[in-house]
Amino acid sequence: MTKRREDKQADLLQGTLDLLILKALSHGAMHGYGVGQRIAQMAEEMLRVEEGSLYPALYRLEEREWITSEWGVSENNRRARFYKLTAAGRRQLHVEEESWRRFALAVGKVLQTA
Amino acid sequence: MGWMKSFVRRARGLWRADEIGREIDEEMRFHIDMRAEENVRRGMSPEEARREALRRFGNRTRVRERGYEVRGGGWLETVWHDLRYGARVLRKNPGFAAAAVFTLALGIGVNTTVFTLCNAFAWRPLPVRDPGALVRVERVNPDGTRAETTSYPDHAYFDEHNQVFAGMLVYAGPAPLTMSESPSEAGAADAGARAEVAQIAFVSGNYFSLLGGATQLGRTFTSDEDTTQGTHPVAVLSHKYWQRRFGADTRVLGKTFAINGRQLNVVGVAAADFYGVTPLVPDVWVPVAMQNSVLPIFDSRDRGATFFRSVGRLKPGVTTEQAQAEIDVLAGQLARSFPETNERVGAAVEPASSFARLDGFLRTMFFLVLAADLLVLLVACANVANLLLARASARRREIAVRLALGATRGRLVRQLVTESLMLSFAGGALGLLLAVWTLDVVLKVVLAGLPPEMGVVNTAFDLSPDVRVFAYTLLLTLVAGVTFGLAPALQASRPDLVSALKQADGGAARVRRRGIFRLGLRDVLVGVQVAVCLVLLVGAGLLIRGVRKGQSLDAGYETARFLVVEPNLLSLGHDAARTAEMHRQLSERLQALPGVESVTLSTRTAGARKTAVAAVAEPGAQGGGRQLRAYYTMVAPNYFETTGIAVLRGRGFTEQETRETAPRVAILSEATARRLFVPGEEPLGRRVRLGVAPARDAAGRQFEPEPYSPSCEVIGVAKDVRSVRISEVDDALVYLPLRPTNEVQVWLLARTRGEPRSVLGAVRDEVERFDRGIYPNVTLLEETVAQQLLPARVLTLACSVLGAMGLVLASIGLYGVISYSVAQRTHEIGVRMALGARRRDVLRLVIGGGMRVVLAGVVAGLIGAAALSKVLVGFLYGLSPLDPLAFGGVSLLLATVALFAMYLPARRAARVDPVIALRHE
Repeated sequence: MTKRREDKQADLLQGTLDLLILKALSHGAMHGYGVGQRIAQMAEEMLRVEEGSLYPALYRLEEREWITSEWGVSENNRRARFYKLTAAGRRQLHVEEESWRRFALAVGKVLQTA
Repeated sequence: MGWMKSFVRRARGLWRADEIGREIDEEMRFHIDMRAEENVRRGMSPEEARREALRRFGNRTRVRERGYEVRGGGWLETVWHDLRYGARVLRKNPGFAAAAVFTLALGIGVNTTVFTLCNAFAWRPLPVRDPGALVRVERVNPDGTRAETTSYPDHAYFDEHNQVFAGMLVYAGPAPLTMSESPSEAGAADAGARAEVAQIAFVSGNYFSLLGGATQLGRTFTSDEDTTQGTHPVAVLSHKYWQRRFGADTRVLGKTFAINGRQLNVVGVAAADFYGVTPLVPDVWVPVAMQNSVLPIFDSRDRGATFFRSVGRLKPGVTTEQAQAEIDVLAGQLARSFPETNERVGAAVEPASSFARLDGFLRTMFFLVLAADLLVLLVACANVANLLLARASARRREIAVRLALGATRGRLVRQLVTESLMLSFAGGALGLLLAVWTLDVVLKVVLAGLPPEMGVVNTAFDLSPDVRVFAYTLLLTLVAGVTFGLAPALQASRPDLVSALKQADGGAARVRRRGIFRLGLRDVLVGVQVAVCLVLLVGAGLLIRGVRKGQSLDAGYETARFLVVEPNLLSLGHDAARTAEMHRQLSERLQALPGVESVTLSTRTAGARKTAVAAVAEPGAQGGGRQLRAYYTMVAPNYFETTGIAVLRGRGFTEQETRETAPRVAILSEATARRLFVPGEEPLGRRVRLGVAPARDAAGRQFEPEPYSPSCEVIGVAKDVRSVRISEVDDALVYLPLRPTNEVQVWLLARTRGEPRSVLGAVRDEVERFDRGIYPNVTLLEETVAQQLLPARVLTLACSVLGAMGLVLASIGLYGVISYSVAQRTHEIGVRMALGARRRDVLRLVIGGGMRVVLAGVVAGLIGAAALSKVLVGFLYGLSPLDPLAFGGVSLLLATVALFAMYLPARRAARVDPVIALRHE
């Protein structure tokens, strides 16, 4: 039963996490650890995500063909899996950014009038 | 993401499962190492840095699992596991698996067989170029019925005036005709060389070119070879015939041979893969313009001779509807120009992409047999479902354990259904093989059983399974697998864990249903089996009794001791007087044979056409001017005496009246007289008008499609007979004297002294000795009549075989259920016997319970059979579709078999030793 609740939380976060991953990768290919670092920078530690949950999200995005991956060599000369945005992923990023922006605007308006 | 793509990806994931796990582990390790290094840089001790990194990463097992969910085998892995598990379970119970698979193979096999036959016949595209663009142009009779055929002049008119077809072809036949070496060669070689029967088709000059038919040798016909009557005696051989008769000799080109005594030159041999559009492959194709001289039983120039089949190839972009509209206009023009033959006659455009259409009678047959097949499959499915239910009880503990360990019910049902689908797929595959094998055997048997006067018959049917057959079998397999698998799976996975886990013997815990309201699924299945089986058997019983009745129907004339001789004298091309004289001489010579009692002549009525008959209006008489359409036959004076048809009033014909100059006379059947004249009016001495005036062809030869008489006197009334169709009394039949001018095929009826078969050879030899140029058909009249019962016989056979299969399956099912219930109740029976129950009581207990179910099934089956039996009416020859003997007999048979199937396990129960049974606990 506990698993169910966790899943629900993950579902809520998943959309946001996907967007953040796509955004993180928009500057170029990066391994999983780097993606995590970059999200942490961007979100200024506002999102306290379990770092491990990054990986299933990465695989899911790869399944949707928004990102691709290949084994490469990291900055400290270790074997690491690098992720890269695909053209479809870039389009998806734009779509999601746009809808987020609109959503944020709407929420802002509601808060001002209320 | 498409279904296929997902499958491929999952399959790859399943294949690389270990590698994916390792990759995820490596990625996580890298992440944690990086974080630890970072932490060290920030000043933590290595141990602390590592701990912190691990903490921040979170639950690694869950990351690995969820990563694998996305990247691994996913749903495919579940299916794969189910399959492996299922295979293991089935391997552990080979007896059960084999029984289920064979039962299903039988059920699916019979279905696939019938479907394949129908597919080859009605759905498979014709083996010609672009069959989709071909349409048939068929005559529509004034009463709205379809003729499937048309006349040659009508076809020619359509061909010439239409704008919708790229071309039109026409053909007649194939028909079995006599084929011999040409007289000159035969005479030189061996005077005793036997002619043989070959299948001859008459086709238009463009037949091959329009269908895209290639040749092995020589050429096909040119379009001018069918324009002028009788001037191009050429022929193209089929590949098979060329091989069989001419040993694939390439020197066959230019050879001559004779069909019906008419010489023809071989100009080509068709390619091996060319069959044309006829389901029977002809041995020889001959231009249609040769038909009148080769087979002068009808004249291709006669607009009333509707024996030709017309096929058009639609121009690209033209639809069937457009073609129909155009043909409607042309048919209207014909009706105005030739009212005598074409008034109110239309033409229908029908797709001709396969050998035949499934309509009318064929469709009835097909759906009847297919429905019976499906019923057998239903019985088979019920059997397998019962087996599964019994096994599910045995597996209750296994299932309960899995439920207790946290498997969801859906997961378990999926597992169980996967197992049943594995069974059904094995059954389906085996059933397909069974069908292919059966068809092979059946086709060989059928072809071998054809009468010798048909010659060697080759069919163009392709009975190998194609996409349609595979799809049908697959559908049946899937539906069957889910049908018989789902109900037991749902019942087995019902989560009543506690009782199942507590009891060592799961079944005993359940109170055996005693009351009426606790009918188990298994009882319902057996009831359904019995009911279905009863429906099938009642069908078979009705048909058997119907055919019996058909056989015993009094034709109204004698059939037992008669030979039919068709000498084909017209093929010699003599004038009418000479032909008539030859008929007379031949009948005298046959009469002189020791085994022959008497010989008479007549024109054939079976399959005959009708002609117009009208009572001539006379002043003073009532009811003059009534009209009807009647069958007609022209007979020799001794016809009535020889065949035993009684002339009830008036008299028969005299020798005098067969002369051309004699006054015209006719004899009417009772029904004709009744319908033509007012009741009580004296028919004798009245005059009737017959037919339409005969046409004369270009040579001035009088061609009589129908008898014609402006007025003739009724001199007799004959007893009604069933000469056209054995199933019904002729509604109207007129007898006329056979005169020498009648250019019609005549058959000789020879009444034999003993068994007609024993005289058949002698009669045939005598006819051949009479004139070496003719090649007669000699058959038994009884067999000719019996052939009319063939469709009913085929249906009877199919229904009997299927009914027997259903009966065997249902008995096995019943036996299994009772055996199982006895095994379950051993303990209870032991207790009863310990308390003083006798064997008889035990037998009654076991059989009584089962019999209730059987009787309920019988009642349901009787109701179903009564509702369905009406569709068989056409095959019953007047037998009531509620025939009590068929219904009662079948019910009794079924109940007896059921009783026996239950008795065996019941006896076992009665022999239970109470001591052992009680210790069983």
